[in-house]
Amino acid sequence: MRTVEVEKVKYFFIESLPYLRVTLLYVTVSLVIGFMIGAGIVCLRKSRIKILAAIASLYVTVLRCTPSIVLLFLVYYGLPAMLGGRVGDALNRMSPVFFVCITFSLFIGASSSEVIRSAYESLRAGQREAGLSVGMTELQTFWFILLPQMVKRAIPNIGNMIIFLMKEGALAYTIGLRDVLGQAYYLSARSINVYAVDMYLALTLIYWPVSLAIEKLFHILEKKMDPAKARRSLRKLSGGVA
Amino acid sequence: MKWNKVISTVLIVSSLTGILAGCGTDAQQSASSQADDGAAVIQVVAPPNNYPLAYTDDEGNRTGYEIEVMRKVDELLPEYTFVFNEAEQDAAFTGLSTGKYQIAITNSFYTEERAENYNIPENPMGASPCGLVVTKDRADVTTLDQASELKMSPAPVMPGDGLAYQLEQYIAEHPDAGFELTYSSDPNVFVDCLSLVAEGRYDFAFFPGNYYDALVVAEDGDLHMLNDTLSYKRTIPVDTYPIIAKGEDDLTEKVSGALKTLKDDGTLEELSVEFYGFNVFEVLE
Amino acid sequence: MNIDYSFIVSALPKIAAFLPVTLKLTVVAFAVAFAAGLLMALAINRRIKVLSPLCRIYMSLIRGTPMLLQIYVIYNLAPYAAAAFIEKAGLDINVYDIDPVWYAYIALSLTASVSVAEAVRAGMQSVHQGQREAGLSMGMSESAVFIHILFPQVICAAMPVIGNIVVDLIKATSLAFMMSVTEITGEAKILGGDVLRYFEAYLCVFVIYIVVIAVVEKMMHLLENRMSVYRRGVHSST
Repeated sequence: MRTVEVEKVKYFFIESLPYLRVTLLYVTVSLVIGFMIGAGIVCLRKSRIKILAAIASLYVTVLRCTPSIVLLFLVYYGLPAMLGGRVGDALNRMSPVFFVCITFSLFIGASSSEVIRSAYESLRAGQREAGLSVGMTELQTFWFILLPQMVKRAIPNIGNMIIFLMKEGALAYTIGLRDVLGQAYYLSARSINVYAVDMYLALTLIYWPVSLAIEKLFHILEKKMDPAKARRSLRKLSGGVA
Repeated sequence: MKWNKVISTVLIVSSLTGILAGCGTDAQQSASSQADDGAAVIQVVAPPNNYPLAYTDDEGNRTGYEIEVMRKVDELLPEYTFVFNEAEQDAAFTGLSTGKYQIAITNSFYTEERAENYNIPENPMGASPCGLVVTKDRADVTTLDQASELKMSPAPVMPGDGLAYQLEQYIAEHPDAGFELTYSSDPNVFVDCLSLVAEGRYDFAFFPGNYYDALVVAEDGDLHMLNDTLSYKRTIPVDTYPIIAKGEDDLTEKVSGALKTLKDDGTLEELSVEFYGFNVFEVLE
Repeated sequence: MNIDYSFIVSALPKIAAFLPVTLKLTVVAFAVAFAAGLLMALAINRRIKVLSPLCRIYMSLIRGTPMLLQIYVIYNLAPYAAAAFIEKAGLDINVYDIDPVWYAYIALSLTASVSVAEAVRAGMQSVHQGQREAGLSMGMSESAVFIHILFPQVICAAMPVIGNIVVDLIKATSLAFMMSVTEITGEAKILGGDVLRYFEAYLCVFVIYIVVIAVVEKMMHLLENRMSVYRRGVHSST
């Protein structure tokens, strides 16, 4: 067993750090698209058309049971093969990061739908009616009253999802995407993984501060979104209406 | 979750794979599109880091023994243009059956089951040289037969890996073998097996000789401190082949022919010296 | 995509044969994680000196590092350090004789323990503080109040999240294969590697997961219903 060499840790750290933008790219894209899917699923589950509601809840169930590698392979290899022809051909030429984003978006779609649903259900029904009764439109009520409260409730979960996604780079590496973890693995393989300890130490030095910063940021966000602020914006709005 | 939900989930999954299966033949033809010069484009896939068979050098270029061999094959076949992709072994073979790739180079050996699933050219592209690692006090153990007799335990191997294959083959041929295989999906196991044997967690390991020399025997080797504890004996290497998608018979034939040309004119031996540090074919004979 | 159905049919029972390993890993790792998570949540909730900040650091470190790294530390580095320590202490124990499954139990319980701690902490916040004071004022001891009044409500409130933790844990057991413990994903990789048919092997794993997770969710649901007696206390304040 070898001892840790500071030089090697520094090497892995400096060489892998720039790839953090790849990580942040797929995390951001997956999160945004994932939440859109999640919102869509909640709408479907709440809809009166039974089949749509059933499909939406089945989607959540299936995704919960799917090992990430199966979904990744289905998306990366299955999708182009299924579409075939010109579309499949074009898809086959797309970068792996595109498919990684689709895969993670599908997962986040399922888990975020649960978050959105519980945030929505925690709101008291009277709030919507109160909004409507003071002359706000349905959209205004949602935008100024319901949404801010839902976001506040969902914030800790969003932070958790970002940290979860960030650490999923190992999966993306399977299809050759180089994010922070992928790049570190790459470099490590060049020395036949002899410096695994140093590599992992460098990864800790990258991941830990970033996830600490994200936790802190979301903590501040949560505090900032206090009800008093919502009330103020509401007052401004009702003044405008009157 | 209710049971009808479970059943419908299974049904959906199976029908999905059914749809995928139905599109198979279609996709395989469309995947081999044309390059600008009219040559058919062949997608070749190799693991991102399979040093020294396929890896990225300090300048960021893809190279390695198997990559360079395939580049030489490409030069000999004007009707094809090879494009290189990266994916781990499990992903590579999934892509080979969906038609995303046509050739996978993963240091693979020939087995009948593999030949049923994929096309394997007649002529090999290289050889995987390896040997037995034991602790110094067991230096007299030099063959798998001895290890089996002493009921020594082998260090974990990666499933589907060339080293694993040789041990699996031994157990298949010797049903009364005195050891069982343990597997691990940790890519670090490849080099960690040396430490595992030195620490006494396992009794022996199967390891490529050129790495052993570079890591342990060499004065400046990264694991030179294990040199006092470990002992190494080279055994016979086994041929390795590129694995080609089922149905690409024409391509398989031409690749096989090109590999023979490269073997005969000494190109493979040159590349072997360049990447392994010695001529694997010499050891093979 | 040509899928080899005969391979799936022949591999499924062989892979399913490793289900007991997966279940054992899940159950033991969950038991460890539950105990550890509960203690951590208590330590942080009661603001116990030294212990509380230590727990916070531990939780943030585990959350902030990839599981592959944690496995490496536990499986490769820890035994090495332990061996050196035992040698110095002059004890005659060989740490390398330990079955790898023990490393897997520890590695898997790390992440789960943090999730449990978070779930329990959230559960504690939902239980009204007045209940503790009410119990104490009736002459119950601190521990009696906790065991008979607070604990059941906290667990009840945390139950849905705990269900999710168990499902995540089942999926995470595949990482035990990195520590040479062969469970269902490991066997799938071995069988798939023989004939280079990985995707089909993974589909088998998928099917097994669906059934196992369905059973677990059903059990969790039953448990939640039985515990709903305690729910009244949780919502009495709202």
